[in-house]
Amino acid sequence: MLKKAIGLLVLAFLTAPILAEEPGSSPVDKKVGYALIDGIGETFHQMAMSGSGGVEKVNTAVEKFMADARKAKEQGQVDPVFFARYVRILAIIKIAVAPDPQGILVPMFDDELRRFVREVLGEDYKGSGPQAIGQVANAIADELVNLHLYLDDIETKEKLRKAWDDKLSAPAKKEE
Amino acid sequence: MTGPEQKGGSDPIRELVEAEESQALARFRDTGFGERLKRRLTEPTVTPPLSGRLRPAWRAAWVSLAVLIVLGATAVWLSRSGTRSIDSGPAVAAHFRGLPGLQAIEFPAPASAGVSALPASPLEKNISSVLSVSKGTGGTPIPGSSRGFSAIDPASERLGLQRFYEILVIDRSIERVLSDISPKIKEG
Repeated sequence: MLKKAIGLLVLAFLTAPILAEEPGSSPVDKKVGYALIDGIGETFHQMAMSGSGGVEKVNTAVEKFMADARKAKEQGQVDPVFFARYVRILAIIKIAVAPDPQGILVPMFDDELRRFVREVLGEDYKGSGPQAIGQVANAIADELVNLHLYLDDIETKEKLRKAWDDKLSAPAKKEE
Repeated sequence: MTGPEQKGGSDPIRELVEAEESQALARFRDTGFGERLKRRLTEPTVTPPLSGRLRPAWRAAWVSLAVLIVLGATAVWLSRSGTRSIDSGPAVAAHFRGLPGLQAIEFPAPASAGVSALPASPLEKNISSVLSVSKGTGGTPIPGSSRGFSAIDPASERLGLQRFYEILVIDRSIERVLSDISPKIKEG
């Protein structure tokens, strides 16, 4: 009987830390978010400066960034808002460089680009030609800067939320 | 009702009990129970009766249950610890980068005209090769470093909003790259 009790105690010690741990409680690691954003900027900057690289290079980089972003999200280092907006940027880049010689996917791609340009820049999408690419590129750049600012303001937003939580959870004062 | 007839030994139950009692006492005295008990107690190994121990089948069940619980707990712990971030890596890397000796290897100062550069020792060469692999964006990532990211290094220096804006908006890096490779240009 004593042996059983000791065994149960040992098991309880083993399982207690696992059960007590709260999953997903690690705070957002802003460094990872900034690194993800900087990664896109640096990749395009290097390609623009050297003039080297093509669709394959862009696609490879986008796929790596996607894998890293997914990993960061799984590890709780970026929040769902950041992840969704970041992945959308990657998708837009992929759409913008996707070869489609027969124009089969043009309507679908244009819908997505139109919506993105409209939401980020508030402009009507030109549809084709250098102006369209300029719009898409501006929208991507603007959204990346917006994401940067979003990360900058995470603490401010969290403080605001906590302050309101405290206010709302405090007992109401009785009027005399 | 409680007359002398009842007390006078005519109760058959009492007689039966007394007979049993006397038989038991006689047997206890005849077979030397006290002697046997003393002998048994002085024996070196006294095996407890089977009922006092765990039966082998029950023991196996308990052991297997305990092993299962321990294995389950370990599996859960491993699966959860795999998704958790380890923050010590970048901190250690930053600490090492801060050491003057390693800084000199990683960021060598430009050789001045008056001073001739000394040849690097094998140790310095090894360390600098390791640092150059981990620092470069195109190099193969070291297993377990940077929390397994393939394209980014969270410990690297940030661009900063000013520089970031300059690259994207002022230099128009994205527009220049997309203009070169996007099929949208041909559509126009």
